[in-house]
Amino acid sequence: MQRRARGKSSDTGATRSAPVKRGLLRRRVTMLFCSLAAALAIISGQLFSLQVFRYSELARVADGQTSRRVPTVSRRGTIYDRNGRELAISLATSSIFARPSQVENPERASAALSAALSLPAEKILERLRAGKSFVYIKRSASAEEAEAVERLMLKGIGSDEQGKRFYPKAQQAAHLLGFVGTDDRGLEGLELQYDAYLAGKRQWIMRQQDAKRRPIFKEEADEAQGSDLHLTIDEVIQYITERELEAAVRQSGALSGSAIVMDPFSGEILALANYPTFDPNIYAEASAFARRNRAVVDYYEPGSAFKAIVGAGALEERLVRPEDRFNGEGGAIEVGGVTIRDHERFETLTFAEVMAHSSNVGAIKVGQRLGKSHYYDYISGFGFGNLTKIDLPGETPGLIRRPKEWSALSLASLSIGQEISVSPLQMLTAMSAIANGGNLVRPYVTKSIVAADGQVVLENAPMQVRRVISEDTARTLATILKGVVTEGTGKAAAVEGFDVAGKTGTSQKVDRATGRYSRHKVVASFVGFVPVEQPRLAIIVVIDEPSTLRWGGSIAAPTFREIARESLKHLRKTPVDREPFRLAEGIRNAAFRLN
Amino acid sequence: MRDQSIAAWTSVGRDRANSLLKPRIDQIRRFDLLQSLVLGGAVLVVVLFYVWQHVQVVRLGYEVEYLAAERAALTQQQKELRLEVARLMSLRRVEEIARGQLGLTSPKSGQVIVLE
Repeated sequence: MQRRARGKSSDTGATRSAPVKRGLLRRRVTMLFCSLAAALAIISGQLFSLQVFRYSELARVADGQTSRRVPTVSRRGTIYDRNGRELAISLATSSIFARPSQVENPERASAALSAALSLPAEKILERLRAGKSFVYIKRSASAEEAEAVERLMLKGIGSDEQGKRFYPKAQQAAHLLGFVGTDDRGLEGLELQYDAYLAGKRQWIMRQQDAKRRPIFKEEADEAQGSDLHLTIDEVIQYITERELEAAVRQSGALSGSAIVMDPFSGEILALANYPTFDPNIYAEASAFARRNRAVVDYYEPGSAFKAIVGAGALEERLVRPEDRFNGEGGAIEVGGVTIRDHERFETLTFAEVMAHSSNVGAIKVGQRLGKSHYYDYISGFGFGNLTKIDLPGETPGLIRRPKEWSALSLASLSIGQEISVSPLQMLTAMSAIANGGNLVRPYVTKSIVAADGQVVLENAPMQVRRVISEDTARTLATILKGVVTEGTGKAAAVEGFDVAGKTGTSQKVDRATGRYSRHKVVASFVGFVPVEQPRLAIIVVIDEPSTLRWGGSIAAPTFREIARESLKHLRKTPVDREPFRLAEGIRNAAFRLN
Repeated sequence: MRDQSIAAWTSVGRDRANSLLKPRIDQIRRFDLLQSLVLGGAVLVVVLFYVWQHVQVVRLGYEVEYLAAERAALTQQQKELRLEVARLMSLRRVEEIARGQLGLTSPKSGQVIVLE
């Protein structure tokens, strides 16, 4: 009974507690639901706030963390000689930089950078404390060093990949090539002239990166490589010219020297050299004098070499013939109250002998026959007083006065190459006109410019400026100038097996202190071409202030000979006195295959 | 009495109805569960595919960047080697070796034969 009563009472309790439990459960479920709903509402609200109200701000922050603007590496184009040999190459190098104001702990940063870059920590710290907003820690760092710095993840420290210019042949063709500054922009020579083509176009692209700054994706960028320059220069002839010029300047104890080799028909410059010279890889260590492209930007009084111009005018105007005789006046003539002397006493000379022996008296008489006006026309016609328009920076037009400004002495002075200043390049261009049959051509050093995709963006072709003298006159003058080498002042220019034509020149320099012609300072030169019948090379050698071997015929002419001989050998020209060696057909084919 | 019998009959009917309907309800519940599982699975597959795709894209991105860096390094190495070759082929250096170390001299004019 007791059990039943308990059981009864228990049943009654169960029936009473079930609704209570259900109510409690319902309340709990309701509370849980409300809590979850509230949490969901808070999360949704926060989400809405983040996604809608603060979207742009947070997107910017996220972009800043995962994306980075980086520059593309722009490499300057390569410069090649006419046979595809590299004269200037660019390689990518890294620069490590700092924005000192953003560097949080300069001591720690300099210690870490010191280990990564193998630089003294004090030096780095000094730069970080220099008070500048931007400083380079190390330029031309290796890729490994740049990577090590990136891994350090130092605030305010970064790396930038840039192109660096290298000139593998060091001093070779230095004045032609020029050089580039630390910002990879051309400062001199062809590097400056064609900077717009050579320089790559630097672009900024977006890069996505992870927390360790490792790149994940990079925006596609156009090719940043600059165009290549293909020159008319022949590396071998350039080397020969530089070697012989250096030897001549050293041998004569001269201040400096210049030499140019040119194709007289096309105007292509095959070599252009100056001594002293410099290494464009370390151009900052060279003096401004050594860096000066004197063959193009400087002028000098050509002296007797200019007699070829007065001779050309007189022959063209049919005022003289090669066999016409001139009285040598015993080696002196008075003009405008001034006595002009010859280097030796001549009695009577033909016009050809006047040229061969470089008689001042004879040349003055030829000039007097030609007259002021005509002579000036020929001087201008041969391009003196004007730019040759060679594709090199800083060219000088030279100095020449108009006939109305001439004194009583001027015609005589100009007939022997005084009272006029010309650049070596102008003198060579004029001689090339005599060599090629009377056409003045524009000299140039760049054959073509080829873009990275192989497209030719610029092509220089031979350009005739004007006809200056007839073919007959040119041929006659060439024969006369051949006499200068066979029996005149230019004997030392003779090349075995080839006919050479040219003219020596030895001009006094004006002493700046006195304003008068110096007795000791001269410019010795030789300008000519070879072979006479089918000219292949026109060459000028100018030696400034030689202290020994002071005549054009004694220092410039032998230098001409050496340059011409070695260059003709390189160009595989057969001497006129020798038959070319003909190979049997089978052997020749095999030889060409080997080549 | 009548009420009791009705209740008993109703109870019997309910039990009978339950016994008849239960398998059907279970079947429906199983179908719903299966449907939910399939739907959930499909959603999961889509989500997983989406995530996998993203992971693959990032992985390939790393791979592309790694290969691009490797290509750039090889191009750089090639250029460095070309520079070195150009340096070594410098005519000044070649002549110094030819004359100084090998004792060679320039051929005289008569010693050169031009082949045609």
